[in-house]
Amino acid sequence: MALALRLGLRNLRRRPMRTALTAAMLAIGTALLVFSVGLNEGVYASLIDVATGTWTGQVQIQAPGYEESPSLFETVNEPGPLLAALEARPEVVAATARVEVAGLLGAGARTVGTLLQGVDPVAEPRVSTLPAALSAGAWLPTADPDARPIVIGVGLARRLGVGLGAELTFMGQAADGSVAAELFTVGGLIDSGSAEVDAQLALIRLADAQALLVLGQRVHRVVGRLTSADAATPFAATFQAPPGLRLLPWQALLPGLDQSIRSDRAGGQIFMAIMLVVVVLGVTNTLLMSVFERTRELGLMKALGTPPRQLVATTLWESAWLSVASTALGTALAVALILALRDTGIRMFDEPMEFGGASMQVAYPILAREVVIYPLIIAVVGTLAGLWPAWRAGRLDPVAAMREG
Amino acid sequence: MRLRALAPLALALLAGHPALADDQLQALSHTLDALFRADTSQGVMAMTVVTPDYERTLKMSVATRGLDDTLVRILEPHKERGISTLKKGTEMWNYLPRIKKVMRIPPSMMMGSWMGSDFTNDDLVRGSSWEADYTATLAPDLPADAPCIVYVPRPQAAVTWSKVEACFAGSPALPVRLDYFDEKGRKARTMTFEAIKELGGRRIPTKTTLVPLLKPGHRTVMEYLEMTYDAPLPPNTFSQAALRRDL
Repeated sequence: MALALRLGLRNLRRRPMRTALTAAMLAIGTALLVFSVGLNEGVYASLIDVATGTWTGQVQIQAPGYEESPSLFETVNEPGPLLAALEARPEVVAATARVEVAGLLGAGARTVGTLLQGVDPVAEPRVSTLPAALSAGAWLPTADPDARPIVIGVGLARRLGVGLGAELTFMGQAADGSVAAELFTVGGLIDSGSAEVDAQLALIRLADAQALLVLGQRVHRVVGRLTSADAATPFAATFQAPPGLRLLPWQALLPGLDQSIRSDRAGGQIFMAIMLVVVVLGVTNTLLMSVFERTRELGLMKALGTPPRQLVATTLWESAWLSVASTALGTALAVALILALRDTGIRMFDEPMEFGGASMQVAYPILAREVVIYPLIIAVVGTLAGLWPAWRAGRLDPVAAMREG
Repeated sequence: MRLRALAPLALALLAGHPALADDQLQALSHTLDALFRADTSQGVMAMTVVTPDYERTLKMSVATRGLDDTLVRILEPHKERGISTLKKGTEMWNYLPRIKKVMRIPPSMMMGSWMGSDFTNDDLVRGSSWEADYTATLAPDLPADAPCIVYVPRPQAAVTWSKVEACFAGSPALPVRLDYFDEKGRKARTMTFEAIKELGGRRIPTKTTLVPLLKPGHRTVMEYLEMTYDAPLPPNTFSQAALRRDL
């Protein structure tokens, strides 16, 4: 064993140039793969963070079917105890309740169809980052029961041709079937950076919305902010939603985002597969050359009584040395690069890219699980690439081999 | 000589009374178009909206002029008294007396529900004509006193439905049922007409029930309580000022 290990290493050193070239190919390939996986996972993670953190949350509790076809009548009837139960869990940073209704928002002669959302002025900023994207005016006040403030997106303000202090008319349908109509005063404008969000956003106070829509205590969404987006799936598996309600992790709330990430990751795996083919060819080529070169030597060793098993082992150790050392080097290189760029990030796009209501411009590579798994796969496949040359070495006919050499 | 004179008639008989069928089609389409229309009309209606979540009845006054102008004002319940809809041509406004505001209904909201009913804003606005906007064919194999007509919109007509089937009964024939098919060919809603009465000098079905088949448990019933036809209306009946006027 020890002899085979040493012999393997010696054989690699006999042709330093060839070994160096193969090693460099393996190392650079691994580094490229590991770094790009780290970068991709970083992009995914920040997309998920931004998309869930902005408004959606990492988990939501709703009436079944609400997500697929929202209806005024599909409600969470007792949000109070549910919010308390959520916030009692360590994974939950904060939770809040929301009411939603489609209707018309008008100013002067202009009317636009919109989704009016009633949010808790205190709890909402703890759950989502959208309230912090205020570009003018003030967030929804808690006190002042006489005023009916509304905070709207800058895009919606532009569509309505209004600014701070403007009076907006809302008309929709209340839960008892009656016509819901109310006047609101624009108290704040939100510029989220996403044109899609800003063109629709209209937020009023939860209590105002519940009174306007004759909903009582009922709400449509209970939204939870978790310590991380990764916590959503295990949380969904362990949190018991009250009967008649269901808990959805962000993957179910932002299926488009989840789907894009999955398919992008699958594309990365194709890159990985191509990389593996190159590795196998490179290592096999190097070892085959090495075995051909030493046909005479191997024949002599066999004639002197070296068991075939040891010849196989020697050759396999040669591929193992080559693969493990090169991938380790490549991984170290990539990890160093990831660590160096982890905080500063890489500017990916000239303009912020919009993605499921979230926008991003700078990518921050991370040390994802894949960063360890991929080099391991390359090292193992590279080692196994020595099997064929090893098998050849093992079944050499000593006489023919020595004559040939 | 005599035989030759009879030949066209014989041909006509063989072809299945095309002239007679055309007359009947035209007459029925005209009935459908003229049923609830007049130079002017004024009346009171009750609209009952049934959904799985609530059931409510609105009483409202209705005034129309030709196909273009309509003013509907809610009389009851008290909480919603004065909420009004004005339609002029293809434009539409709602007045909300509680907040004293008029809202124009944007074109994008035309398929939205009108006053929480199963009628869309578009149903109110649309001045479509069965005679002008549709190609009519008589459904085959039906008794002459209970015919059905299949209406397919003409290519240029701005119609939301892919097909409408209208069935008639009685003499003179009045509609009993309209089936609306959506662009996917699904039967999307059914409108039935009943309670034929003499109202304002016309014999009309006074109760219309609209069932949206794709929304289980929903139904809107419209009943004519009082109706006057072709009486002169006060000037400016169909104006923004009339829309805002106190009831």
